[in-house]
Amino acid sequence: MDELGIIEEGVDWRTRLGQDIRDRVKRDILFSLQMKLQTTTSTTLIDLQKVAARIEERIYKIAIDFGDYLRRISLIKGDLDDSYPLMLNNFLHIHQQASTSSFFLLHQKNKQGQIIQAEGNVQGTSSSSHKEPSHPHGKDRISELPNDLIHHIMSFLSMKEAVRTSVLSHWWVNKWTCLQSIKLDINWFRLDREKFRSSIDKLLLSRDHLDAPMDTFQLDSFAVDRASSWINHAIKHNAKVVKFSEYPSWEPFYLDPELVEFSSRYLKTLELTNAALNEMGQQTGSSSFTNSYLTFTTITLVDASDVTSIELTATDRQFTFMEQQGSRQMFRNLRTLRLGEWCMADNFLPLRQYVNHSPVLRKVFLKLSLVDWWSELTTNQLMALVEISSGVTAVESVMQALMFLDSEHDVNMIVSDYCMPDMTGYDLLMEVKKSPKLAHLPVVIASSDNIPERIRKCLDGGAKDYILKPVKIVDLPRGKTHEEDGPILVSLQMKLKTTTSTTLIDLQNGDYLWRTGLIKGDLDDSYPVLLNNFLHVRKQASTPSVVLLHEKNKHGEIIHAQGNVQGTSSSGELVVQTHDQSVDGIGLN
Amino acid sequence: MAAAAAEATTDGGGKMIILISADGKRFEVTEAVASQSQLISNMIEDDCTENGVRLPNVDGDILTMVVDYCNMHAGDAAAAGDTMKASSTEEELKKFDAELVQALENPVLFKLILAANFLNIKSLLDMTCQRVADMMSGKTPEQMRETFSIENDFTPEEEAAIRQENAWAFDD
Repeated sequence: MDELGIIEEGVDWRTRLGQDIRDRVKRDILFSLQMKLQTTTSTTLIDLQKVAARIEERIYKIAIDFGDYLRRISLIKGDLDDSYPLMLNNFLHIHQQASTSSFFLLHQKNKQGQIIQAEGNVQGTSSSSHKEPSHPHGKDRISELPNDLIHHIMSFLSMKEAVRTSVLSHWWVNKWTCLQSIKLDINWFRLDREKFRSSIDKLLLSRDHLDAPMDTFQLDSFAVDRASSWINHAIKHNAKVVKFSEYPSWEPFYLDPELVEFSSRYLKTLELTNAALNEMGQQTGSSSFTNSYLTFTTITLVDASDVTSIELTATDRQFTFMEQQGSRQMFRNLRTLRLGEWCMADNFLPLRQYVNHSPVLRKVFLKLSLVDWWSELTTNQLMALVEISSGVTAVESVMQALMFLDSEHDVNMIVSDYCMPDMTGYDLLMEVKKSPKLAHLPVVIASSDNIPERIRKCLDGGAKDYILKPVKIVDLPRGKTHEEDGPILVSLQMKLKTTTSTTLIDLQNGDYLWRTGLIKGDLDDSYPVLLNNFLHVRKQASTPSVVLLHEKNKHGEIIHAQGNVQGTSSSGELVVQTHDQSVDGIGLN
Repeated sequence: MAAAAAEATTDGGGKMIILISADGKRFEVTEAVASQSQLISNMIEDDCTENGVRLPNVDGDILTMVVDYCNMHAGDAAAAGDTMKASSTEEELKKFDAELVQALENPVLFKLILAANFLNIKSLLDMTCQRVADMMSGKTPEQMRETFSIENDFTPEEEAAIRQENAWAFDD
């Protein structure tokens, strides 16, 4: 070898290097590789020779002289022979294939920072090349289990316990990353957001490579922007359960709708705590929506459009959902909606948005925390509520409204628009007064026309009051209505075309009992059904609630809205049932 | 097994099925018992159990346990309302299950897991996997290696690096 080292200048050392030397070097590398890999992995290389040749070739090309060549070779061998010293990084990616064949990549980095990449197809039966363990108990059986069983076993462990298996052996390093159920809490990272972030990023990336299915993704985060993307990742990967919780004492986490799309056929449960979604584009001005936050507590989603129930009851947060441009109604199957007080903002705009996107909504519960909430509700808000209901459903005609009224025994007051399609409010008033059942009901006529004769006519006809629209707060309902001692039925026709709504307000005991029966034949779409709306607002001692209830009848008949309101108690519980006709205690006391 | 099988014919009235283990042992069980295995249940549906069901992946002694388990649980199997062992109360079943898995040596436990997986008997698979999880739970990696004879093939540096990477999972 010495004679090779003292070759004359100018001549490429490579030309002097015999093939026999190179072959020997390759054999040495091969031997080192075999030794090394046997002890570290349970797989056997079928083309180690190629790998060895490639390593040699690479060094042959980059070495500046024969001395350098030998030095590099010995470095590689040294690295392979004993431990992994500093300059050598080895990564083992093992793709699980159907049976036992694998693919692995071996990265080697030499001192100069150049990377030699060796690739090889690895195939093997895990037991054959496995070094017999030194343990007295015998063979390592667990590491022979197929991955899905390992994951099944891990699914019975806590997340941390599962992760701890990563240090058992090489075989175990990444097993946990394929867990179907991922749960991570930033508290585990001692609120180190950077570590939290990089861990999750790494985890999701490696899962992506392995194409691991996701079942549950649960995250307790703390002001980590990436969370939007992670949630999106989980949803995109068909997670069935996604739970995200922003650090409780922190600002609600803003889930960027650009980054998160809550649309999945697989998502069944979405729980977002202390999280905010985007406000609607046009609302970002000076309105209260600029600060609109939501707290999801439980949302059951079958699909974004198959959500059947939503509860958004945080009192101090607001929420608006993103309106999907030109798409179908977002909550096509939403039946139950529970909203907190925030939905009253901007004249019930949030509630309105929900209702507009929820064609089959049956119940809306408003959880209001104001003790004296009714005194806080402005008439406009009340009107808005009625209008919202009308947006979904409407009475087809006044006659239907009358039929509806007729069947109602819990109607307390009638408010009717004067101008209605086939009948004036006056006619309605007359009909009501004619009916033995309804005659006792006070009727209030609302109209935007300030026509003295009409007002007089109505008042003479037995109307309790005549309200000019737009309704001003002074017009309705408190001061005046407190004097009313009879139940009042309110029937309103709102501005929406051919829409009539009936509203009940029980003013007697300070409660507002609203009941809107809104029936509309859906002529244009696939719902040949008539819908009734119930809107019930009741002041309760502790937690007053509002219920808006829609009912639909598949046969297209009018269903009369039946509300069974129970209890004036302080339980704060608002109960509306939808069974037949039976109505008790609707503020008639 | 034979006794259990004979008993079953009179009782459930179901057809008998012969299961043949890898080493040629034969087990006669009722359809109701056998169909707790989704694999066999599917075979029954496809009518290909006539000449016995060969289970080349399952040893005789493992299959004995599986059949015992299935016999015990035939009562609570949703299939066919078979009540052959309805007398075994839930408590007895729990006791039986607990004793079954507790008594298992590691190699047998893993064979049983593989068999349950192969035969697709979910309750047995869950139970055995749960057992393994219980054995891992609350243990340090060293103890886990000890328990399962896992060879530590890391260099100390590597192990430290992996611990460092997942440090959050290691401090409690």
